[in-house]
Amino acid sequence: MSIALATALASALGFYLVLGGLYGLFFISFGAARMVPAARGSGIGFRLMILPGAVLLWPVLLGRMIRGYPAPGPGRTLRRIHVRYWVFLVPMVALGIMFTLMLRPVDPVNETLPKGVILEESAS
Amino acid sequence: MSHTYQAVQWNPFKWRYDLVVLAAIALFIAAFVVLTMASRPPGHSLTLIQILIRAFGASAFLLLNVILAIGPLARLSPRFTPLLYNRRHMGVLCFLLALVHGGLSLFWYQGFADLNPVVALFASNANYTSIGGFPFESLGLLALILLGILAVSSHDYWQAALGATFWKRLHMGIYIAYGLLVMHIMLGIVQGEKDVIYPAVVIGAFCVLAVLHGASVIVGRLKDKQASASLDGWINIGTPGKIRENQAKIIKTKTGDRIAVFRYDGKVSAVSNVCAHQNGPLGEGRIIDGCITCPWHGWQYRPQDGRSPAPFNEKIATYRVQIDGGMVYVHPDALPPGTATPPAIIKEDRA
Amino acid sequence: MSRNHKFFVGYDDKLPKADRRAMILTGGASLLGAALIGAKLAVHQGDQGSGNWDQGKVFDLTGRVELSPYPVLRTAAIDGHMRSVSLVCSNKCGVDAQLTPYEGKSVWVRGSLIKRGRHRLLAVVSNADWIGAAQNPVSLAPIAEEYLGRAALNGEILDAKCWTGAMRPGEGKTHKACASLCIRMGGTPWFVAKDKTGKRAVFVLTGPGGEAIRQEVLTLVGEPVRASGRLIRRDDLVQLRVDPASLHAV
Repeated sequence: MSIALATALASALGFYLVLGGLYGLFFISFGAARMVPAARGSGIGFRLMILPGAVLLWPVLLGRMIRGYPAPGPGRTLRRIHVRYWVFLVPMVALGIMFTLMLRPVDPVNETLPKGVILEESAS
Repeated sequence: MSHTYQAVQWNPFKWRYDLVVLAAIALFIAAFVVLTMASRPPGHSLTLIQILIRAFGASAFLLLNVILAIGPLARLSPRFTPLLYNRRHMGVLCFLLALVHGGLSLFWYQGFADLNPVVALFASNANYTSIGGFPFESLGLLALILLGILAVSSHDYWQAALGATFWKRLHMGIYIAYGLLVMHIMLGIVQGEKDVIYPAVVIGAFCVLAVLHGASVIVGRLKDKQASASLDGWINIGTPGKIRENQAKIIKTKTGDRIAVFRYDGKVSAVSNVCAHQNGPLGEGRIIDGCITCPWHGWQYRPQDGRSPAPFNEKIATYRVQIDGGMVYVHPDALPPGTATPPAIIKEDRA
Repeated sequence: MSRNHKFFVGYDDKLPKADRRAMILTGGASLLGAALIGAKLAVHQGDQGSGNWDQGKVFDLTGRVELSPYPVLRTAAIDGHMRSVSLVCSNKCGVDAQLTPYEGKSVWVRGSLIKRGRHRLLAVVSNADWIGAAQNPVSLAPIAEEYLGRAALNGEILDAKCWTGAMRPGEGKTHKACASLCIRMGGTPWFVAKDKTGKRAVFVLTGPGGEAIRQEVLTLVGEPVRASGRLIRRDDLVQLRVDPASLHAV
């Protein structure tokens, strides 16, 4: 990756986190209790604990805030999705492991080393 | 539960649990560091920072395997359900170990140059098109970001704020992180270290996990009793005697919903099998102090109306029940969460 | 679930007896397993050689500066033998620019020694006063250059400073990014080849005309590479002069 592209990527990451930090401070002060009424009157320890979440998840939270804090739907077991993840994960990881095992470099040894070159002991 | 949120709800069991986890990790890191130094000829040791990078990375990966094993273990044997209680503490700890690993690596390998270390991380290994030489660091960074998102959103508050289903879906990202980490290790340390133990540990851990998860799915399928005989849409559960006192029988409707049918105090009530907290299997729980108690984290609901006792306000769906001709029938259409519905009374037939 | 199995609720803090036993066993097994796996993973790591960098010991070394292909200080001041001590930066950077005015001149250089086997590098201190003209010119024999023939070798391209002792391990895949960053920022690329008995030969990797190559080799650093070219001995260093385009991974 070129330095320019890498710099752009790193700046984007930094930008995301700075925006997240600003939003996070707003969220733990005002947004948190509006989103979940049970959080009203909770202490500073709890607010600090959810701050990193607000910093990282700010686009999701902002989206929910704009849509007027819709109540989350009822819970469903996600066993089927769970199984799907594993059905996908097992062959992918198995293939990945096989490939990477085949790619494991053999020690690049030489039959002989050129004459006139000073050799180091293997221990050094 | 969501009465008022606290940073962490501690109790003696959680303390002991966390203490054992921390001690195990400390032992692992200490054993690794001391023996890496002691097992080499004098003057041949590794740099301490590089030993720590390896120790923290390995401990994070192994801990992740333990975390992922707890779910299926608990499904396979109720003996392991207590392990579910502090799983999220382990998750956060796993992220912190990985963060130390990543931070030290970034500082040591990408630092000290006239270049932002994060920029250096993306740019310094340029082999994105090669497979063997692929910059495994990027895979590690992606996994670290994922673990970070899961760690920071692990508080119960986030389940309420994001919705249980979205939260659960988000936290399935753990499997993506796991896959990324396996590749991070296989393309990293396993390409460099010659000994067979390094790939063997990764492959072994992965196989154990795959077998455990497979077994728990199969056992779950066997336990699932597909609703069969029905009367005017009502599902026949069999006689009340088929349900143990203060326990439940779980049935699966044609639409795939699971209903937990509880027997208690000569009555039968039916509720959704899905706990409002982390979608735990309520039907594998018990009735304690008159409330259905989830086996995962102990959340409670009244069987008659699916509501948590005051001061809590969680609600789950309830189902209509009747007893006819000595048989228990449940209507498969869920009532809105928290709807009171009269329990069916078991007539004692002593004749 | 057995009929008699008591049911555990986390906030109760009364673990049923059977669960208690299971938890104590699980906890014990975890502690033991953690220590054993930690120990096992530790002892199977490969030997990383005897590289050493004593950063605490800063001293002045006098000699003559050679800039091409990579900066060295030709000196007999370490142990009486003529040595080509590679001059490297304390961080991941180059020293060529600061050395240019002193090319071919007698100087003192302040830094700390990095050594592995017979190799000596001087990591110059990072403040401004690390070099100056020597009070008395250093008298040294002219560079002895000798053509050793052609060679095709399997080995690894490394950063001289990392491999000699700044990083341990300073080779292999996990170190690839670091070595590649070092060379990109002005480090010295070396080529290390091994024979079947584990003996190593170290070469200074240069272009076909003996010029520096850095950016050209970045993608191949830290990987098994096949390099073919001419071997030229200059004093106690042997150059492997290759066409960078002909380098390829094996």
